[in-house]
Amino acid sequence: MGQSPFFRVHSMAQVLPGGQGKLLHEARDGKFWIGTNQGLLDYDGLEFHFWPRPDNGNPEVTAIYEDLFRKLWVGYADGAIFTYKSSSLIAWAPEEGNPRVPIKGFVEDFDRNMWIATYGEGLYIHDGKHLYNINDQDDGLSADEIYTMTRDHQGRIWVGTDQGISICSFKEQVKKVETLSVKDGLPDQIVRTILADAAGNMWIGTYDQGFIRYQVTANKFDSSPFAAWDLGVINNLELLEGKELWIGTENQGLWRYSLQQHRLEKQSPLNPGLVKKITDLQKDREGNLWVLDNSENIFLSQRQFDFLSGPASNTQALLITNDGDIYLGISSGLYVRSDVDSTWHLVPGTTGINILTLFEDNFKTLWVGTFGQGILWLDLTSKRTRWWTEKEGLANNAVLSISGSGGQVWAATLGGVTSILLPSPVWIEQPALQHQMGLTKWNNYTYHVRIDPIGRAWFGTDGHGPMYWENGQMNSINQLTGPLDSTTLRDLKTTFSVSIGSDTSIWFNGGQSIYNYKNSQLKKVYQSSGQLLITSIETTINNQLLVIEQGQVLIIDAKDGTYTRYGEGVGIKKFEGNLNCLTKDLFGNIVIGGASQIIHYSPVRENINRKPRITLNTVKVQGINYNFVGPLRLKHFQNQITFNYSGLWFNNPPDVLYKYRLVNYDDSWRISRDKEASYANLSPGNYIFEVSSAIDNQWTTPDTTSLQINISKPIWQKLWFILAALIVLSSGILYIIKIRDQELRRISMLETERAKSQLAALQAQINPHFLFNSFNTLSTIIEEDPKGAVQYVEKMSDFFRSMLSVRDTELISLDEETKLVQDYVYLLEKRFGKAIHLLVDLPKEFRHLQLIPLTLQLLVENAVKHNIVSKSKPLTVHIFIDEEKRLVVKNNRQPKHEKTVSTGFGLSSLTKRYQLLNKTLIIEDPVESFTVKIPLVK
Amino acid sequence: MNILINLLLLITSWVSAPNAPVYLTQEGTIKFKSDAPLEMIEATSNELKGAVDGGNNTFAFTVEINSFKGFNSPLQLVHFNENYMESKTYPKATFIGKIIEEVDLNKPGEQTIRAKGKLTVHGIEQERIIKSTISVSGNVLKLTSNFTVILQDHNITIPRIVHQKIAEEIQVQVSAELKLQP
Repeated sequence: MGQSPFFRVHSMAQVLPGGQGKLLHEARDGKFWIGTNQGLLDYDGLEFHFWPRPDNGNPEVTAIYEDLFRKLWVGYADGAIFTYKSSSLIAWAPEEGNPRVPIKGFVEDFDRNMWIATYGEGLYIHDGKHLYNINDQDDGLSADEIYTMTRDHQGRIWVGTDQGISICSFKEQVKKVETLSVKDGLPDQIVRTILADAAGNMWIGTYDQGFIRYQVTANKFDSSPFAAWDLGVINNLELLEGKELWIGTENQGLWRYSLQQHRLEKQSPLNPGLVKKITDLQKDREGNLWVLDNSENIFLSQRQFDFLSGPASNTQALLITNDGDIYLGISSGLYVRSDVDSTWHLVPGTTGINILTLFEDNFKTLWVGTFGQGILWLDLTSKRTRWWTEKEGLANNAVLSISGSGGQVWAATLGGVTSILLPSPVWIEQPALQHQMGLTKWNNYTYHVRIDPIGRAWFGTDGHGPMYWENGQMNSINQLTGPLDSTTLRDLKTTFSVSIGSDTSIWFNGGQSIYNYKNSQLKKVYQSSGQLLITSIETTINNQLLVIEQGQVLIIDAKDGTYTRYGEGVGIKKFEGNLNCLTKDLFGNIVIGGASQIIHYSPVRENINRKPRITLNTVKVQGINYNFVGPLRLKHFQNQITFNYSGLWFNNPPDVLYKYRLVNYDDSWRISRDKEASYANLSPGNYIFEVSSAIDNQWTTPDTTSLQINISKPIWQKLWFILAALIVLSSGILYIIKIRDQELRRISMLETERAKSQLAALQAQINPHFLFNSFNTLSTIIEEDPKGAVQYVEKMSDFFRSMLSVRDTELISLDEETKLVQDYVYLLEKRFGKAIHLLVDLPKEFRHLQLIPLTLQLLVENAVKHNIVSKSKPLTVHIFIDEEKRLVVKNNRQPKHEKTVSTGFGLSSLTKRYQLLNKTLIIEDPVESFTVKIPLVK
Repeated sequence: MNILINLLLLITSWVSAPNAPVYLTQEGTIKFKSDAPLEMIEATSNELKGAVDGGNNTFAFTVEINSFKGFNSPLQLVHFNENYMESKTYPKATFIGKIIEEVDLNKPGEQTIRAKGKLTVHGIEQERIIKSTISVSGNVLKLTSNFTVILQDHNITIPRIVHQKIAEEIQVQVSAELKLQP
């Protein structure tokens, strides 16, 4: 119809200056992925995020696909393939190796085989384990250089090449390839793009011969819609609503083809870009069309809105006739738009007429309501005209609205309402006046008239609110609803517009609020914020109401009263609508006139999102990206969490508000525009993070996304740990008590033994035998050597003193003990002369080591006691340190003939005392010698 | 004879059928035109060398950059060789590839074909599909083709000051008569 879409430009220059956009992919979470010559980006409408190729290979992205498990596949110009999940790109390397040529596409068939199209190596199929190849040589693929790949409704894979189309399948490891070529009716063997439509048919874009549709079930091509195609190479196709085909060309920009009107129109006049090479086209779920033109720009257009240029500014009245022509009235004339060249032509004879409203009756007569001149009838076929004014019975010459149904037409004027019966065209007989309201009973301004399906005429009046005519009577709406409350009365006192819904509901525009009447109920559905004036309303498809509010268009959903706001983001700029200046055609398209713009609204029948979609992007724990699947399970020290989310709303991203809370932490929702929420120092426990996005605080629960978080208690606060710790602690204490008890017992035993040994030693030392022997010796010496006798007595006294001094100590040093034993041996030497030898061979470093006192003395005494000590058989006692650092006392063995009576007390007492020190005495008793090894104590 | 063509002939003599027709030329004409707002520049070379092998529908064409004559002034020729084409570094432009359509070069008459190959200009290789008309009569294959070369695609930069004098897209016209090799 010659209308132009508005494209808003999103520039990637900030992240990739000089980048060239090559392809687009809308992920299931709504985010867009963009492949460029410099790498991969994602985009949420506000921010681009760059994903550099981890191996620094050729960055040019040539294919993007999201598989059934939401894993993203990214193909590069050098044949590399990366997959993306949980914030990282991972190289995909099948056993068989990667292709070495550009990856042109990915698609899964119904058996979940991954198909990979390449430019030069044909097709690859990966069945999860192995990679299979389909190529021209072996499998009859049309050609190995693939431009495009698509799956049809039967799960077959279509590829386009220089040699036509191949339709491939892979079942039970059997490859099947069928071809479609020029012989089958393909207009051009070079196939650049293939698009599967909702009905399962294929749209094929070619190199030189334009596009054509192939009916898959009937196995035939449609006839080509063009006799000659002069737009050159087609790069992309996208089908909107099944009625518009958008075409991206190699060097002729972007085109739109209307399948209903068979018309091709260039779609770039409003934009500097989009004039040459188009690299990708993609519709999103908000009703936007995305376009890439090999530059650093991305173009987005909201499909619901197009813009028309008018013949003049300030459109006051609009009408789409049943033939599809658009009539447009301004304050100085009437224009009609030629459907052929999309230009406006002044309707002859209308110059200077101030037009307020337009209506077409059943007889192709246009009713032109004017300000002050009454109604001008215009025969659309013969172009003849005639005035109908107050003189002929019109209530008032200022006509604001005209509507009709069946054989009756109603005109709302500044002086009331006139109704006339119209059984035949106005040209044949003067229409019969039926009712004249307002001349007497009611003389207020009447702004709007609409007829409902049961024949009631509804009026928007100034002062009396909504009124209706039924059975020859004019009634206020409270006849149907009962008395209205004061708010409603105030809101609807001046009713500017009426619109009849397809579901028997009726809508009223009170200028600042909108009410819906249904089943005897009148309900407010919208209240304008601020001082914005609602100039028009009109029902559209799917039980929705289009509202023209100053500067924007709202689409209200009658089901839940929620609305979607479209404004500057979609190209509606400071729109000043004129009162009830809109028109609807048979398809539900609405044209809206204003001071500076004419908006064409075409309702989207495909299911599109009317609110932002919330997605939780990333979660950072302690500042580091945390990969999560399902609930977050954290340790007690992981208590600092940052959530990053986006409410995707490409229509106008800055409009999005977020509402979030951390259940069990926040008492109430927090509302912000930030895409990030941070929590620090969370104590252990269970939390749920909930976030929702909306426009204008229209929060609804289904749009909330949530994430469960569990921060575990530190180990020392866990019950099992506390119990275990208690058990360990108490058994430890018990053990210590036990050890201590043993120790005490050992000590007391030691004491006893020592006491015993002291006693024994004393007994031994003062045993009369020793004294007797000593005194005998002394008497001998006194005679022979009086000096020596003195020395002998001194030694004896030394020996006894030492013995007395050491008997109380537990341990003495080896040095002291040696001295003691040497004194003792001196005494023995004096008695036995040369018959006894003591060899002491103790290195200095051992002399500080300790042993039980009188050990050596006892052993020497024992030796003397049990062995012959004579000149012919001298007794040698050797004291030394062995290799194991034990003290050794060794004597040669020459037992006395008659056994000495022994208590055996000495040696066994010594052994016991060493045992109490945890040491063991070793006694070796071979025939020729007697050895005792004593462990030394440090 | 050009090495390239020798090479091609060598390859094709192995690959193609024994009686496959091979056409050669040493003196094809290649013309280019830069149609800028302020100036129109044209130059021609009659030294386009090329071969078309009817056995597997492959072809190779090459031209020495410094063989172009014409231009509006001798200085322009110097600029062309030194500043823009850098013909000392990149002495040749070549186009080597395969005809997409299945054509029979033994069959007389006119046919439109699309040749897909690597176009190398200024050392930068671009894959191109170039439409051409060929007609065979007797032992002569006549070839004509019009296409454009976008300077940016081949990294040929034009100083801002002469933007108005040199077009961004250069129109190229090729016409050659290739003779059937005995």
